[in-house]
Amino acid sequence: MTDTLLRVEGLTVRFGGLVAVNDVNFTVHEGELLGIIGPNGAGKTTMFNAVAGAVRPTSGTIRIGDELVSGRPPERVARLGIARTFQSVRLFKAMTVAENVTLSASTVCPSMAAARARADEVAELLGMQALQPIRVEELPLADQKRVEIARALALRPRLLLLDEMMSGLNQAETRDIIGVIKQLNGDGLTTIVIEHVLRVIMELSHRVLVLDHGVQIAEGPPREVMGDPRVVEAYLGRSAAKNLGEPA
Amino acid sequence: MNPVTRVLRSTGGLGLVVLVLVASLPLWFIQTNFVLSVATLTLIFMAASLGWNVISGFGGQISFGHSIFFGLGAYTTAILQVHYHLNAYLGVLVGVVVAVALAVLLGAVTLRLRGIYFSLATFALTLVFAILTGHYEGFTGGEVGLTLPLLGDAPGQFSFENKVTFYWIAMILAALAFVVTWLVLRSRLGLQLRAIQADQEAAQASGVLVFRVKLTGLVISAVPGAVAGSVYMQYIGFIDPDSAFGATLATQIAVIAFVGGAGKLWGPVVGAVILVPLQQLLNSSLSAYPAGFNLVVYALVVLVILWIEPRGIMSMRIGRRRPRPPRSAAPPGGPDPEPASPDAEAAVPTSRNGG
Amino acid sequence: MTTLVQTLVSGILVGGLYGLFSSGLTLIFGITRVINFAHGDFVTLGMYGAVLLFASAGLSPLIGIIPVAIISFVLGLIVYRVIVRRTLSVKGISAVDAQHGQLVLTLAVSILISNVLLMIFGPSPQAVQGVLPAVYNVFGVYIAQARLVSFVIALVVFGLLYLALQRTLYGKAIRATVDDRDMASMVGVDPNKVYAVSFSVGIMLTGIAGCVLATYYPVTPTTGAGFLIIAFVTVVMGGLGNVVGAFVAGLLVGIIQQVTAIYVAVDLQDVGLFLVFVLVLVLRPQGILAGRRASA
Repeated sequence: MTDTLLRVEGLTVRFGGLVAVNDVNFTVHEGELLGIIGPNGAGKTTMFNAVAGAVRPTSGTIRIGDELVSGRPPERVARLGIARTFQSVRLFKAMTVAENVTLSASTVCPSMAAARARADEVAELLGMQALQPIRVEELPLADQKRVEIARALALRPRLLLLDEMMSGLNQAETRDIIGVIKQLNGDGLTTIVIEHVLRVIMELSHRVLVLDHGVQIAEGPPREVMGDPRVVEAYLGRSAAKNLGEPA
Repeated sequence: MNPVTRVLRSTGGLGLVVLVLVASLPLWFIQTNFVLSVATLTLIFMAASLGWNVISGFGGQISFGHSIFFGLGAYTTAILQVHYHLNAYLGVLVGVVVAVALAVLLGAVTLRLRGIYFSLATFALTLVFAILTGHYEGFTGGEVGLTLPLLGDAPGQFSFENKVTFYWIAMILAALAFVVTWLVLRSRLGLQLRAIQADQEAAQASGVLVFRVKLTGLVISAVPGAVAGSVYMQYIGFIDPDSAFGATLATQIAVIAFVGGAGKLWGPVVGAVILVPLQQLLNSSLSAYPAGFNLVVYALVVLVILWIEPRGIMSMRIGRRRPRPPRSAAPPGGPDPEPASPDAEAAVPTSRNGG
Repeated sequence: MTTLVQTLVSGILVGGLYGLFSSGLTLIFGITRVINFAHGDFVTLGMYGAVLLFASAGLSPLIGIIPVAIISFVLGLIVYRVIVRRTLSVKGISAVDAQHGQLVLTLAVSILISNVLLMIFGPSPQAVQGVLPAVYNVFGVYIAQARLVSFVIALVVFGLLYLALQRTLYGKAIRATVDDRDMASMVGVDPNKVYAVSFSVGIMLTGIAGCVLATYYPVTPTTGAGFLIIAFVTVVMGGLGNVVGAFVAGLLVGIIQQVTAIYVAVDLQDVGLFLVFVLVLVLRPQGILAGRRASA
């Protein structure tokens, strides 16, 4: 039996009259890789934002270890060890790769020297030392996504949240990022991945959670979940057909 | 040596050269009182604008009320001297304390909100200060203003017969303000302020304590302005609500930095060297023309410079050089911090990801 | 009691004009994200327009509205095309840098306008004299004809703006753009045109307000500075980008100003305004009327 790292209970997020996330419950174990899928507008990113502190839950609680996450601002959540990437890359574009990574390291390291060392360490881990002096806006998208992962890693997170890392990437780039995620998770980093490319989720996840219209409709090992009739109806019946049709 | 230290070394080296040049200016150039006075004022406003650069240039929280700190510095020293016969140097210190206290208060109300609220609140607040100092005249001298007693040559009271002394004091002030902004820029605070300006949400997700960082930036930002106000007061010997808190000064501190390059280390320096003398020159030489002509010319100069390059002079590309990296950019003529060929090669391995 | 009613009435009457030029500022900000520092000077321009038309052609400001509106619209278009668009067209510029550039450029335009006016008209106040001179006595409350008519005009012009926003294609595109910057193209309108039209209409409303204001308020080249602050405060109170909010907040601002002027001190009327402004920032930064958006 593994330890529980993240515990989400009764999470509900309302925007005015719209219920974006409706009474979602799940846990993530230490070292686990949880995949979250669902059609567009299913509430995946809203749920992510709630876990990361960017959106305040209407009700419900989120805990990492013994610490309460819900109700804290995003910068505090980041310092509790929950690091994230954004659906559309949000880096400090005019800064260099080294500065981007040093920045997040600087929020958890005692000195700038330590932060720079931490940034070098992360760059080495991801094999991107050569990119360090380049301004982010001059990099191709795939490298920008790696920088975003590096920036998250610099926080020494206990939990990594990856929001649609593969969007906009070609197959080779996708393979590359999958490799990075597997490597990090193999080293013991607990990770939650949102993805709409199903084969990516199938390949990566230990366990899958399916959202539809803000409601959690299935949860379990990837193969089992894909066979669940509710998932087939909610998901495969609609937008995902083309993703499945894509040659792997 | 990594590129960052290279840029910083070049900045420091160039700073030293500039300092020596400026310090020796009275010996070989400044012969008339007019030139001396223009140079002194340039350095005083440069210091205030350098302070502005910390919260507004690096942090992106655009203040249109840095005159608040300037005016508080000026009025605090003046009031303490006139009403309480306090030593002027102590008055400068009290001025700084008052300005910092106000910065904390102002920041607490506005810095949790979007940047535009800060801009509007600072602008409104400085005008309120102008009204209040005009209204409570028993203390502040009202619309008439306050005049310092003539003390003659009394170095112990911040009063000097020789105006070159003020020039050097202003120079030290500007140099200190420059060093402070330079240190901020290379520190954790500077990096985090720049990140907030670039993308506040991403900065938060990276663990930056946004409110605390902004507030710290604002407090540091207020100090050079307050000291500049105090030195201005001692130098000119007179202050009134409009020259302390008015819209003209409020916007001028920002405009100096914008014209030179907001967020650039050398921006306020370049901006002050161009705009302050221009303004003084226009005021004195165009007096034969109808009132307003000088400011029309001034506005047109600002318009043209920012029309050509909205990011200010420091961002203008001379010749066909590539745009410079970060905001710690060296001034024109400094060594090029652009990574050389090794980096161009280094970029190659990444293309395998795309192949 | 009469004093209080008198104060409220005076506040509301002048507040209508505040609301009109503030709705122009909020429209400009909501659509183009430009913080227009020259806004107060376009009020001044409208006022001098009225003065000039009256002095040279004997034209009443009530008729002068039409040429002033047209000229203001064109001026707005020029400022937008020549200055605002320029900052967006610079290669490699970030949105933040462009916005800051626009801020300083409009500031320079403000200095330019007020000093060109100073060169032409000199510093002494000018006024349109003798138009709408009557004063009505309603149960002991005095109402100047000029103020009443100005208020009614402000109300009518704002009503037309509101209808245009609700009913016309451009209006719909504008409302969509306030909520989501990419929406204009989805309604089938060129976003650049939406920006240009919003900016010009914003300036036009402001010019009209100035023109009418000239019937009872003397103008100097620096009059606009005071109106700029009023507009800033009003726009924040109404909620940034909220046109209806700005108009209603304009009425409130007029009342707050008058109450402070009568019950505290005339020269402190803007201080009272600022205190309320800070209060709004602390308590309801989204604006006092948030939730009841013009676009809702």
